[in-house]
Amino acid sequence: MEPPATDLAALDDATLARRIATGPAGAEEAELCRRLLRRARLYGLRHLRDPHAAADLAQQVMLMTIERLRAGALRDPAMLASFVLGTCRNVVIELRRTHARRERLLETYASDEPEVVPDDAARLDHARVADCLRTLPARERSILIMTFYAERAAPELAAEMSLTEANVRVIRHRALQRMRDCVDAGGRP
Amino acid sequence: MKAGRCAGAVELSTLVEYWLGELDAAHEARVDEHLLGCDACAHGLDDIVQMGAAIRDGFVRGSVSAVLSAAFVRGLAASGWRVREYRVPSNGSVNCTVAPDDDLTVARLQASLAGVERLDVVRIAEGEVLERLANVPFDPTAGEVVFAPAMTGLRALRDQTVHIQLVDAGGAAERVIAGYDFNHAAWNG
Repeated sequence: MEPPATDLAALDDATLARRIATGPAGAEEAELCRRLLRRARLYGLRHLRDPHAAADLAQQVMLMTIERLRAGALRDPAMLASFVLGTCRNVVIELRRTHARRERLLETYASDEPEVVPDDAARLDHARVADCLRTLPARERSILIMTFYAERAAPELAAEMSLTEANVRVIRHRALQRMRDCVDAGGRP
Repeated sequence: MKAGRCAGAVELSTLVEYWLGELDAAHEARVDEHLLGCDACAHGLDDIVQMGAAIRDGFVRGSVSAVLSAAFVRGLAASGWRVREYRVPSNGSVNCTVAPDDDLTVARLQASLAGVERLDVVRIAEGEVLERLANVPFDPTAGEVVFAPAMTGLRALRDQTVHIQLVDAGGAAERVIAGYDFNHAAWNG
């Protein structure tokens, strides 16, 4: 009989990995896949900056990890995160090659593919976020917009706005805290 | 503030720095590995990614006014944004409008800002303050402030003059540095 999902959620990754390595463990595999998909997708977003490529990476990493675990080829399940990181790095290299090929094809055969909004964007109430953004102090609002519109780092903004890098980070951090509080409060500052 | 509860949780500010590529390679690799093994911190990063997407969306939809850097606006234009710019001399005026396909309208307010420590931008129409952006970021050596009013508000304007003031709010008494008249006419094709 499979363990209840609530019990599985309480297990750490290494325990799930051990159970998968030692026998049929469908529920454990499903739980570990759920965790890895999310984490690897975030890794992909950070390193590839493309939601489709990040989804591809997550899928490949998850499958390769489960396959490796089933084969009992991961000697120390406590090192699962290290293994997943190594796999992510390799897949990123491969996806970058594929992406470069795709870019070349697009340049040759100019595509009208529409811009795709990542799934993430739908999970926050954007109208509420806009309300909160309007209530932010102007300095914080400017820094957040210029930071997140194109994911620009503090040194770049500091140079453009005559601020120190540390100052940009402080303003950014304070602004994000305010935004979180405001969004949690239903859009009221 | 920690992003979540786990052994060695990553600070929220570090997650933001990670997302924006501000960490050195060794630190980034440590955070990569931690995130691939920790649901709580991955959740924290996911929150930041979603918030960034929602902030970007609010700006793209023209929901908010903001002071921006000239380099940021150049970047938008280079990436295909249709940016309508009005460069107005100190105490000058300009006839202006907003076209249906404009993505952003920018007022480039020329002014001598040497010695100014705190700057406010005030928009006034028919004697009423429409909005006041207090303590905006600016480069005192740039000789201008780049102000982007919310496009949703601009599109709703009828034919009228909107007055913008740059106010030195750093001293005991406020001082108007310069005023600018924007003679707005609704788009008539």
